[in-house]
Amino acid sequence: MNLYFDNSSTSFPKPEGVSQSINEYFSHGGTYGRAAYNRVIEVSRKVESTRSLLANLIGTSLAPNVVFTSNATHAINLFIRGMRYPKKKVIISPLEHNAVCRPLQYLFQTAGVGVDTFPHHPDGRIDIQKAAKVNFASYDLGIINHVSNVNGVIQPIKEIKRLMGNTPLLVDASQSAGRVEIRADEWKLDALALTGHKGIMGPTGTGALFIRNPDMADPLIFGGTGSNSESYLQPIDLPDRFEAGTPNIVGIYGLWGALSSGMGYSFKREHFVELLHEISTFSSFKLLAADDTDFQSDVFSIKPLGMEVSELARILFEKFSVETRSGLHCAPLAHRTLGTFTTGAVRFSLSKFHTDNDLDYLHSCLKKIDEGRS
Amino acid sequence: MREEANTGFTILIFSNIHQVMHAEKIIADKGYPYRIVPVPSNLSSECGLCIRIESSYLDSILSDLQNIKVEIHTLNNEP
Repeated sequence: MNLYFDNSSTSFPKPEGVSQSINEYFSHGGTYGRAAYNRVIEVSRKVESTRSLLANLIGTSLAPNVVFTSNATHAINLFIRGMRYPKKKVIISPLEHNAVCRPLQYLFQTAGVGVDTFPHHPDGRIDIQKAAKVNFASYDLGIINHVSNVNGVIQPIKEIKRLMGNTPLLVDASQSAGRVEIRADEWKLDALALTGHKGIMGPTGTGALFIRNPDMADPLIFGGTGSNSESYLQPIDLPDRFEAGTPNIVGIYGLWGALSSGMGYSFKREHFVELLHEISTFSSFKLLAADDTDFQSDVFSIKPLGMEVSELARILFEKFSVETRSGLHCAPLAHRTLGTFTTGAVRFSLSKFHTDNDLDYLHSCLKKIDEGRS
Repeated sequence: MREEANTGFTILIFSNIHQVMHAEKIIADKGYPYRIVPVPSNLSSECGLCIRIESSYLDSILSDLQNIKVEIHTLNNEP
């Protein structure tokens, strides 16, 4: 039985191919580019193959525009801090993580960049009808957390970008990549940040930024790339413009293993929806989830009524061995939007390894706790 | 693999490793003979790698590489 329900923090277990691929790297070694012996050529092929797999995952034909980063936070910072802000205005979703809020707060303090919030429904989903009345031309940038790491709401990215027109949109795909469909080209996304160790189920220390127009942002880090070495200037070609220094080759090998696993979900979607419905009937908890299940990913939270969230997490682990994350989930804005600031909630985040039986077990645990309190 | 025509060699230099690997995949998939070699220091101060092809296949390969930016250097001797 898989009782690990904290996959939004980091996924576990990983597909077998992750450790196999990492072991393959340790058995032959080698760096990326810089020389032309077989060890290097093999590594370079694998790194570029991984880049292509990532491009395919997010639905873009622009593989060189997918640049490796150490995680989604790094990718978000690269884009947000690399941009210029002549209008000094950014509009964000009401469910943003501190990976977005903190760099924006820094830009507010140091450059006077102001932040507005998209009009939204009570569950934080952006209200398309009201958003149609927003003057997006007055903004330098929009930022949307594709899938909330608190209640799992999936934002209607395609429709929002259509409304935004030429105003650039950065999508934070930390929770969505590997979990829900992303079509970067079809949706005309300007930038997208992802991490490799959550929905994709790769190793920590891996991530990527997709940037459609590299002129939109200055590099965050400058240095050697194995190209244009005679020049002190950072290369303008992608991906080198944003990839100074030796990449995380070990991590990228693991990421290749994850992306190549082809793993599907082991639980049925309708079983998960039924679980949410059952939890919503328990009198001891308030369910934090999408109001419309069409916009629900496999992440949700509950706020216990009359009990500390940390106490519920403790009971779940000590009595039932269920691993969850309690608190604010680094998303105080999301919890403010959902009315659970400052206490937070207990989050359950599933993975493709969970089965219907695992969901049934979780249901029985919560039911026992609810019955013991009612 | 296509037959080697032995008409001398041409070096293809790309802007970065991504482009080398991208071009290599296209060249390999089409079955052209090629080798990945260090960038000759008489051609560039670059420290990376490039692709050496048979000169007789240059036009066909360039056609297959389409929009990939490439520097072309014909060699008199094998590097």
